Amino acid sequence: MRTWSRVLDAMLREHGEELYSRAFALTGHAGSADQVLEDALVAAFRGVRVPDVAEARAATMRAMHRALARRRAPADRRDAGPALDEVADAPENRFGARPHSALHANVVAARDFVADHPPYEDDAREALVADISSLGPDERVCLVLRCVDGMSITDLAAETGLSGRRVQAVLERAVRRLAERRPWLALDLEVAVWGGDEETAVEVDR
Amino acid sequence: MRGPVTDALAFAAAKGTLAAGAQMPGVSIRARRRVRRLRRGYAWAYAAGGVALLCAVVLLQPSADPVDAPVADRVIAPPPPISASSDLGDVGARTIASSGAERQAALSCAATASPGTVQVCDAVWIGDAPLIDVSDTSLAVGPGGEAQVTWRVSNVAAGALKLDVSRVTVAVVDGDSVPSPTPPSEPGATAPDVVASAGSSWWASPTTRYAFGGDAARVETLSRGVSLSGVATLPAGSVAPAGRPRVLIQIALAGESDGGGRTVLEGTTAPLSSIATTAALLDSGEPRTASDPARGRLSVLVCDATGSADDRVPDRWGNDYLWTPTCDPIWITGDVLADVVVRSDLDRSPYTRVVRWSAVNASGATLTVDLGATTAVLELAPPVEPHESRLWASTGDGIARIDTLWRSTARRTAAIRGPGSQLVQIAPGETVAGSAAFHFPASTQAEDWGERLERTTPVVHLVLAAAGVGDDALVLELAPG
Repeated sequence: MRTWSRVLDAMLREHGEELYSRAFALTGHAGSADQVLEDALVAAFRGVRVPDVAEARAATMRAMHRALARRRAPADRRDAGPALDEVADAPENRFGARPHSALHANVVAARDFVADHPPYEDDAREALVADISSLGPDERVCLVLRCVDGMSITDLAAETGLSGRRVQAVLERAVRRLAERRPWLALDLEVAVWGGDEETAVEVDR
Repeated sequence: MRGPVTDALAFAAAKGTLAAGAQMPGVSIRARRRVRRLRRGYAWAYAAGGVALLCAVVLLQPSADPVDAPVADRVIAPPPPISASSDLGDVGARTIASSGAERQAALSCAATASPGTVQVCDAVWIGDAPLIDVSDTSLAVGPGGEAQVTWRVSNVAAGALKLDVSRVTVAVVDGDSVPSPTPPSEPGATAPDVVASAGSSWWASPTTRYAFGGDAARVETLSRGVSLSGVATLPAGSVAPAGRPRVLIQIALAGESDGGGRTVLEGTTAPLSSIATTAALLDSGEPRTASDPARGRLSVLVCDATGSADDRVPDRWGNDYLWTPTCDPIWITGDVLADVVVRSDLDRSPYTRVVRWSAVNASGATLTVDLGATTAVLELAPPVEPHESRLWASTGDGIARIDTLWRSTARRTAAIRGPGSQLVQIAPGETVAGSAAFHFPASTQAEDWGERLERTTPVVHLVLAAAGVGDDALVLELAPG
């Protein structure tokens, strides 16, 4: 008999690294990756029906993408790294089983500083990773699905639950923000969002 | 555009793949707990719903006796506590090589052993989730070499646990991964209900482990989320200073299992590295002098823990004090802390300097630090010449000001806050952080204070708890990069 526990075991055995790797790429650091993946696993297995391994993997991926796509960083924190609650609730910032509010506050304050002063300025790739991490969650998830998975805007909209127009706007904003910070990368907004010839024909529900 | 961004995202994903091995077990355990709780909730909801429907049907029957109808109280009552006679789920054999972080490690023992005697029990995994968690546990080795274990067992099961607390075994183990023909002894100066022990291994064979017999003379119900804690003492020499000890707790479920035996739950901590770390730190240290630049090294103060009362500076309100022993500063080259951030800001409100700091445990083992003793110190910048007199301004709340911590070119003062302590275990890769605010008095000299504030540089004295080997206490110095 298929039990959720066995399916979870099997899925984590087969796809655990892949899922964690995606969570890390989406969030940029271990604490938030843990939290995002944990929430997604719960979402994938909370239903009464027990999924099979392939369904569970897809549901976990989708739950991560959708959770982040719906989450937007407050406007005034756009340049200051991960959102406060993202950091404060991260398991890496928990001491023992109980949240420790004072320590959380301290970690948040320290992280603010780290976000304001990226330590990787001498490494262009690390610096770009840090810049991507400091984008809003919706921007990060769209960027990952566009650049890593090569999804079209239509597919991206289906995966994230956002409208096509919204996806386009989020992607444009993400690319513009990266281009402002890294002008020497000469990012091409049109190519980034539409992906060149093969995607220019894609209809967006404007 | 796709080139560098895709490359950066692939790089981040690769970092995630590397981190997965360390992070996934925790994620999996937490997710599993939450899913189980949710699904149990459904089961209860279905059961309660079914009974409510049944009640409604019964009440609507004209011939029904209303006295018999309300059964809901019995249904929604909390489940009985988990004991040895409960259905504990699947029971599987546990071997010396098997790991089952998501199940509960236990021992299946015959009930015939008399209290205090060592018996050999079958090692088993039970259920599909841990029932107990051994956390907030620390090990301190005193000046005379005696070891003190501050232990805590928490109920992380779905319901209450009924435990035999007449004999809780608290053992310091080092290398609990090979069978040992010698059963553990009970050398500890113990409370009547705690067996303190030390040794290399509790495995009697690849499938059996040692346990002390108990008599269930005292049974207590531990509610979900509640902890049982205590302090156990081991005599000098029990704990090897150079080891990587863990604390093992054995506690029996009350009642008898189906086969008439005892079920003993086992929980262990991660290696309590303070002692090993201390030894490693002392081994790799190079003497530091006042004029020696850091060059990426970590400064550690090795302090004589037997310091005199003269080293105590009361805080502004006289509630707490700073213990300020003069220590030998050394440079450490190995990986202990990474991503050290120390930031000092003038707060928007006038005359306050706020120090915020964080660091990641890069030692590869759990570090136990005393955040209660940890202190941020503001020294004058640029540095002044070392001198013997100590003019402290201790303000409480974990911060103090002094013109220089250097007593001579080769001796440096530590700032250790007392008398309270807050021991925190920092797992490998975890962040530890803190902040403290130095409030300068608003007075007619305000401008002078503001000027002084501008001329200070922070250093955080992070106190390694339980690090004492012999008479030494260790303080890690975190400074701005």
